[in-house]
Amino acid sequence: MVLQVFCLPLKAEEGGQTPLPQKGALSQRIVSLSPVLTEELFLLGVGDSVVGRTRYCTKPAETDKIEVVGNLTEINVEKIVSLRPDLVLVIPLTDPRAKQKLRSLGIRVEEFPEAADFRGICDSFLRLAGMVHKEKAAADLIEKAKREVSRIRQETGSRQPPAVFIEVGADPLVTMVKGSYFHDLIEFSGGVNIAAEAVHQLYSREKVLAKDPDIIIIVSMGFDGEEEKRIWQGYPGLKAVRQGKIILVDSDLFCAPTPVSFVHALQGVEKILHAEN
Amino acid sequence: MQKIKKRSLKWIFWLLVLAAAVLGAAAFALSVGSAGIPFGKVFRILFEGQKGIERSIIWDIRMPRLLLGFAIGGALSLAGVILQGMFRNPLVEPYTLGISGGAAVGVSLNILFGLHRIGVLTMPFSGFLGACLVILLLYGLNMKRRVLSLQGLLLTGVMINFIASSLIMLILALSRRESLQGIIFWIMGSLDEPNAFLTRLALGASVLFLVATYFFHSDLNALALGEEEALHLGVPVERTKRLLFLITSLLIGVSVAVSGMIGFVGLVVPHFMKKMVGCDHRILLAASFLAGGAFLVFCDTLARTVIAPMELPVGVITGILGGSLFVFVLMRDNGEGR
Amino acid sequence: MLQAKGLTCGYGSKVVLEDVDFSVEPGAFLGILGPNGSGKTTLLKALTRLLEPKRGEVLFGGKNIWDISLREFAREFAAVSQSVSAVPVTVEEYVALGRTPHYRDFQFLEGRKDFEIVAEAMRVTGVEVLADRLMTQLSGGERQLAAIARALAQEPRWLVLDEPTAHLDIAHQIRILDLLKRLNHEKKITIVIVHHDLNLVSEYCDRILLISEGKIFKGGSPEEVLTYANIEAVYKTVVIVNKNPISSKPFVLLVPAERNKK
Repeated sequence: MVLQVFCLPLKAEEGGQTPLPQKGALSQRIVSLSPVLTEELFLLGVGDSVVGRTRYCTKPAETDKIEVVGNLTEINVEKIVSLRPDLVLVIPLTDPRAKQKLRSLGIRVEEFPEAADFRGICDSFLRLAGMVHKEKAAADLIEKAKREVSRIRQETGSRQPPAVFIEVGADPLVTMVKGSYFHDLIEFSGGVNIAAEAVHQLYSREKVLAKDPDIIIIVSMGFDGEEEKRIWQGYPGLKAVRQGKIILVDSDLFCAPTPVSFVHALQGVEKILHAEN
Repeated sequence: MQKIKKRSLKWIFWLLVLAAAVLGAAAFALSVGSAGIPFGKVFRILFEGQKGIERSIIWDIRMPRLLLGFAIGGALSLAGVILQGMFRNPLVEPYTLGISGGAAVGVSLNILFGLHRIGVLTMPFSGFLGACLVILLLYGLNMKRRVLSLQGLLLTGVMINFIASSLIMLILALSRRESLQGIIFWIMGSLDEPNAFLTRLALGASVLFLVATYFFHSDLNALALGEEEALHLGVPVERTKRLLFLITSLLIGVSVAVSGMIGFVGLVVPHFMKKMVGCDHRILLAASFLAGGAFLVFCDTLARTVIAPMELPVGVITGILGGSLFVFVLMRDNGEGR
Repeated sequence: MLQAKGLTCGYGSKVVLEDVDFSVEPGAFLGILGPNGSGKTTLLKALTRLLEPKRGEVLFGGKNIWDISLREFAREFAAVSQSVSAVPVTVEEYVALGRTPHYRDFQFLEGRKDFEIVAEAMRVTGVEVLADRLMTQLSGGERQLAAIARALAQEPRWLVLDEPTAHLDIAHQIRILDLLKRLNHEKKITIVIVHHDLNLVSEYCDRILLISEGKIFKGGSPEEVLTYANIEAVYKTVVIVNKNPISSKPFVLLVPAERNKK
């Protein structure tokens, strides 16, 4: 048995002991390791097929009935395998070793990189829909979203664009540059992202002061938003401070967007940017 | 003659006890996990070849992890015994020499420059490369006129550790979010290696080096008296130091390259086993190897079940368990007024 | 026979011994005397194949000792250092370490012969009653005896000791030196000791080497070497040399400064 033990790990790579489902067949058992993808699966109406999720996949409410297999970065391979999935959806953040292990066991693993902008969100959504054969439903939702986005762009396009600084991280100060959907949220609602052309996401408070934006939006992901607001208010020279335009927003709305939640977020940003108008 | 027989019996007893510990830890590791497979079923899968998804879990997930844990635990403990024997310092452990720091920098650079996309073996390879660079540095800086200075090795090692930590911080600061995760994962240490080749390499290397070290058992026993005394006893001290240094470095390099940083095992296990079986390296080498393997497998099993389905990094458990054990042993020593 | 020819050694660029020439016949009991820093320990290191000479050579039986393997050398020569390290092993295990140079290549356990030699070594030195005690639990004198036992377990024909009775009380000093004398007479083991006590050396050694500033000042019998002129020249202190009433060997009396004026 000792020899068996020594040789067996190799066998798994050659095909394994688990019966492989046909690729392309209707995916019945999905493990999603990304809150975005979990939400999107429910949007597409295949929530019932989701058998495993991360701790952070909490939208919509029905997810609490689904087994938790880990958090965003650390996942329990054993737990996933015991759920007998035929498709596992991962993101770049997921432990690469776990991804490799699942693949070596013959399980289909599909990776979804973080969406760079609105178009990326839609493309990703379509790709997911293709895997669960819900292309029509996806296309409809995307159509609706695009129409709403166009409407907002048109409405706000004519107005004077306010300069906006969007803060997603404190200590160090982190913002979002061109090529992220945050950037799109601002541009589509008629604003100008002061950090649009920056090379790196790390920003300095001095630069913000130099550019003197009209509005500062704080999306508190893992830091104290109120504290940051108070820090900014310590610079009374800033336009945003004088006009009382330092806004805290609910990070839930803004992180991990689906096409649908992107539109909601966009509507929210529109209101912030053009409150007085 | 009677005394020798008594001692041989004592040694055989200990080897049996430790072998049982290894089997016990293995049984524990194979039967416990978030998939919740009942023990009876585990037994049937192992010995009667029962099929099903649980079979995959036992053979493809738990077994490789168990084997790697045994290999790494054994390797690190063995390295610890050799180092503590050479340096005659009970606080020396595999990470004191800075070799793990070098491996960590190697892996971090690999992740920073995205080299791991080339292939799955580049990560452990860059770790091993980093380890080798440090080994060469340690050797080069401390070989003077054909004498390898042990004190110098220790000091250089500590310095390299500091420099490595700073370099890693620098790399972390320059990295993008995804890279950060990768680097931190690796540093925290994990027995979750999916590549079977690496697992077998680690296992083979550990056992091979254990056998190799046994050729030095009498040298290590003599070195316990000091380098000069050992020379008086006819031990070729310089040659022995060089070879043992090489063996230890390779043991550490391979362990760290494959599993990341798992601390305390190399410090606590040799220390503890010395108290249990004595200083004679003829029993200490094998005893520490087995004990280290069992200990790490046990810690790893705890790490993946304590807050299931979330997994703790195995280094956390070895740190807490190992650290507490160490303090306990120290307190007992002080109490006995040694 | 052990010979030093034009021996020059030191550490790094520093030269401690210069152009030392002497020979030791087998069966001798040689004492090496000299003030601190004169090079005694360096000489011992050179003789026991620890320190390689910068110039000159050390010959044993006509062969340069550096041409002999360390193990072979350890089977002929055993050395006892000044301080015995306290390792947590039993006395018997410690003495058994002396068999190291005799182990065959892949020998794992001690053989019957090894065991017997160890027992004999412990008996001769009188530490067999301490066999199962840990080295760390022994007194300084007992540890020194254990160290000699370990050296004897090497079955050497030459025994080299560096200040074997430093920090020991007079009872232990005599006990050890008597043991060495017995070994010298009964087992025909050649003894070379470095010692600081001029009178004990005079009493026990049949030959003395007086070292001063890296050179041999005088070599010969105790009567030849231990004269007040030699001692005052080397130690730069005033002494009176008498004859020991019992043994007729030279007896050195130290003269404190105030007595000097008289």
